Amino acid sequence: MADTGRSPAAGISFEGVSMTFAGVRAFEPVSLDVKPGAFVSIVGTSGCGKTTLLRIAAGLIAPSEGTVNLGGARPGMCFQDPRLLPWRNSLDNVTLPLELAGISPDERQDRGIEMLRMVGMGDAWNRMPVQLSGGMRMRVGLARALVERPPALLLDEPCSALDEITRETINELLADLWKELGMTVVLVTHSLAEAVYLGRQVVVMTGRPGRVVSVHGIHLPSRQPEVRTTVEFAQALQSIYRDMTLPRPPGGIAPSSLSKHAGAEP
Amino acid sequence: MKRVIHSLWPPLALVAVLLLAWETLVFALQIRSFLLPAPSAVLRALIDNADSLSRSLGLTTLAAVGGLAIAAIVGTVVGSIVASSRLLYRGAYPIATLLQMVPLVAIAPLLVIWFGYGVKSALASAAIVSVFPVIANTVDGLRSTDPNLRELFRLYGADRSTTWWKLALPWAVPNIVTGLRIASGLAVIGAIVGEFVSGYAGADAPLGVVVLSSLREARTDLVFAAVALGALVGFTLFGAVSALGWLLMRGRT
Repeated sequence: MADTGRSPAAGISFEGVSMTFAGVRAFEPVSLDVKPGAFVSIVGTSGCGKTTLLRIAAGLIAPSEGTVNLGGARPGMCFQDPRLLPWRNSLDNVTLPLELAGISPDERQDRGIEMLRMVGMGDAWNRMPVQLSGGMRMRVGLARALVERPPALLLDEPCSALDEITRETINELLADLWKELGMTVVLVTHSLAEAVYLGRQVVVMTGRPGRVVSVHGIHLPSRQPEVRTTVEFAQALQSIYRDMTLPRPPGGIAPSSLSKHAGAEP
Repeated sequence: MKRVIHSLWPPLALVAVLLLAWETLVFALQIRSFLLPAPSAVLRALIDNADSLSRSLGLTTLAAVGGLAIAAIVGTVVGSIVASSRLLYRGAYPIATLLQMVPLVAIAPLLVIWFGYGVKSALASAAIVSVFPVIANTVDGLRSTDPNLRELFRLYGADRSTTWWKLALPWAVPNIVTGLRIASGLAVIGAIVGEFVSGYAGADAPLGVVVLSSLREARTDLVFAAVALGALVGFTLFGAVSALGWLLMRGRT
């Protein structure tokens, strides 16, 4: 039977994780502690290594140094391009992880339909990817990432290819899914507004070589769309922007940036 | 249906015009029938010899369809094996490129030694000529899998064989169908050439033999009739492969 409850959330701890590609340092050692059930956004300029960091967390690539600990759980992941199989309808795309895990067809179908309903695609279960808009495809991609009820969800710029309106509806969906399912979420984005609106913490990275500059706790009066016009929201944006554009300290990394901790909001 | 008619009528009209011109030219210039028969004469030869020609058609169809079926199975399997290993691919690729330069039909006489006279040699000839485009396109298709999707399968812990069945093979279907389309035309050529060297005349002469024996009797109208029937086999095979491709790729685009 499909389980409708909340997922057990997993913490993600990065310990001295660094990456070197062909002798070139992609980013300096990063230590971050994402608490179970947290919603953390990572922002940074292009090439700062934020996507690489996420792929390391997903186990898709091994770091050059350091370790990432997810408590043995496999995270769900959603990419900028939802990566749907063009020969499968929405339902069969969503149930792919269950299929690969050897779960029975009946259970797959129940859980797939339920997940599609949660992302507002219950009626479109038999549509093929070409028949879906960009936003709908992203919903299917999210449903697939969540169908195993992973304890952590990794999002790699999920909205960057979407138009403004669609992006906003997907943001609302992400906020709702997080509230409902309770998994840990790490969102990599280059939209500061998206990072601040969704994240309870925002990790700021800068590039060449990539490193974590600061971690901001985000305290907003509400999480309604209107909050984007408040002073608090603007101030949060401003301080993150300032950190992103700080002149690089002489001699490389600021020591204080290496062991910042991002904890869950109390 | 409307779209089919819309795209079919211009070529059909052109064929009708060309046939009419051919007919008129033969009639006006008094060209003798053994040099170039008029389309009406070819049609008459078809009708008058309907009985024996339909048996010939059956034999050639058997050789071409059988050859294509073998090429489809062998081509997909060999293509999969070649694509599965980088080293094998690197070894096989230059050989495959060179093999394209080999006039494969030239080995048709050899087939008689291996398979004897009759339909088996024609079938083997059809298979040999049509298998290479299937192999080449299968390899291309299997090697072109979207790396992002491969990564997705890696994320979900899929092993090699699962990834092959559920990702690489469906991904390669459009390429394999393209290979089969090319192969469907080649299979008929292979079958007829095979019949040239391995067929025997008589009541059960395949189309290739009908061409040779009619030529000897200066029955050029029968030669054209046999060629027309061979073309019919080719069109039908091509259409069948295209229909299969449409079925397999429904909903993708």
